[in-house]
Amino acid sequence: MGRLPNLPAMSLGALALTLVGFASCGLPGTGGEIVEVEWRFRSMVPEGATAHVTTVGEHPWEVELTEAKLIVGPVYAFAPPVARGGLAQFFGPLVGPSVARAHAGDDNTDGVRVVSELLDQVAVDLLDARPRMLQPAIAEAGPIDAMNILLDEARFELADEDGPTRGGHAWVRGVARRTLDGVPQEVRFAAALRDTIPDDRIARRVESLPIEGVLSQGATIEIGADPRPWVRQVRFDDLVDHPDAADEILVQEPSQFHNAWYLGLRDPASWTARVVPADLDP
Amino acid sequence: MFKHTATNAKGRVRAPVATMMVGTMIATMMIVGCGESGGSDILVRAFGQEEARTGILAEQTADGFSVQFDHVILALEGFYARTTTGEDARLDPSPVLIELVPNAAEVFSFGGVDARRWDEVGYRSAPPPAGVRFANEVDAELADRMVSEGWSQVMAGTLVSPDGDEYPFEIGFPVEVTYQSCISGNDRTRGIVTPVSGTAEVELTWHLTHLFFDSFAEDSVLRVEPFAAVYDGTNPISLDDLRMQTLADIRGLDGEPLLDDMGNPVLYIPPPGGAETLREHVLAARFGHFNGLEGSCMTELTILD
Repeated sequence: MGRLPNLPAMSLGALALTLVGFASCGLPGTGGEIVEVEWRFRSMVPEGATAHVTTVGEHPWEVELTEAKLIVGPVYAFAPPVARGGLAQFFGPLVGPSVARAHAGDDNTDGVRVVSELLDQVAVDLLDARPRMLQPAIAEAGPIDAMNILLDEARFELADEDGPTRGGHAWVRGVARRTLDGVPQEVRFAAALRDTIPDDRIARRVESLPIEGVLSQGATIEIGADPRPWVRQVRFDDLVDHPDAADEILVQEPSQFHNAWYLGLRDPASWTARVVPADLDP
Repeated sequence: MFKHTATNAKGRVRAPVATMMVGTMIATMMIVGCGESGGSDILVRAFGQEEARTGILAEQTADGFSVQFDHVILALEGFYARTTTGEDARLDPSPVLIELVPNAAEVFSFGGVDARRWDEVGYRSAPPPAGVRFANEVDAELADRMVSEGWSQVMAGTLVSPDGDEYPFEIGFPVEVTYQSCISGNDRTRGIVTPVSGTAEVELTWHLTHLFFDSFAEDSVLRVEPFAAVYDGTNPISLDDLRMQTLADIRGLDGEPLLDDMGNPVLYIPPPGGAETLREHVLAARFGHFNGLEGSCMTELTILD
């Protein structure tokens, strides 16, 4: 009992030495302490401010959003790649940061370790300044440096036509105004974002959103989203002559409106992410 | 100190000195070298594939445009072969310019390399210094411009519409791209193997089609018309001209919104870092595969302007 059968007469001492050799040519995994963290969403529109944005273009529009809702999730928080957080400690610049693979369609987070995740979908009202607290989640303690925020299609009750996003990924309502050649123009609009987002794992996520912080017991992962870039590149000129222009226009897909919205939604500039340590969280 | 070992009842050796030494030797070899020192070589070529010879055919693009390349000049440097356990072949080559049109060119050659697997291999493409070496026949005027403009790559040629109209382009890339942790397209393993007294041949496979990808997600297609649409009728289309195309409002040759096969506005899917115009979209492109199109590297790209 306790003997290593038929190990060809190699002593434990020799085996140990060999393992030392293996250790020098390979790297063990590193597991971390499991802790509980909070997740929360918040709007990047300052409290008390209107969600106002000026569009791009030669004759820009002033847009005020009156509704902006979004389905978010799942969300994944990634540890720095081993090459950066582990090996680099020993070998310095041997292997540096990794940003992207060479080809369209390559998944830049393949093989990167998820240390906390929010698997549920959440409907968030981005005109409500109050933070939206979510269920606590477990996490592997340690640093994180990137997040993937998935923009999957709404599921279950969130997919209802009378749900917060009218069954889509997102919902927006507002009014665009400008004065052109002394003539005031106004476009009142509403739209749901459904089919514009391609059914593609990469197209359906905000990818590798930077975040710096260390997950520890009681820390909070806070994600901020800004709806104002959603309409910044919308060509409202096209809607002036819409048959419903006298009333609210329910903009239908596909459209330039929806393309611009999707690009604004997925733009990393529309998002923030940070880790708030437990002792700093109000 | 090891003691001499008696045989057991069945005459088998029990933890003998010899096996201790074997184990020790294995460990020592792994610690010290993980490979065999010797006279191996590494030969690095750059290859623009079929597109460098025949261009991009109309059948390859979504809009029926074809592309002819007159020049694709690439600046390369910093090819390295290391291991994830710390060994370094210490190659450190000087910068070089390579013309990829029409044929593959030898870029770097290294001798006296240890025989082993180098599982951390990469290189860099960065704007060349003055006096940079030419690997093959490189257009001197374009080379000077790469130096003065700070381009790590320049692609020049002609876009040809389905009607046969021609649109010259000359696009320089003010970027520095580090390719690292390369995985071979030959066998999907990391890095390269230098054989004992042999040569490891490496191909940096430059995929020229990437310039025209409309998406950084899967199922991207090649679109050329958005490039042609910014032609001013006189000067070759430049990188800065592509600022005129905002991704949220891509226009065609007629100045109207560009529509896809279904009659819907064309949707570009930008890189993870975001892009507002076609210029930024193009600048985020990586062209380098490794030992064939199935090979890839992790990359870090810095836009220098």
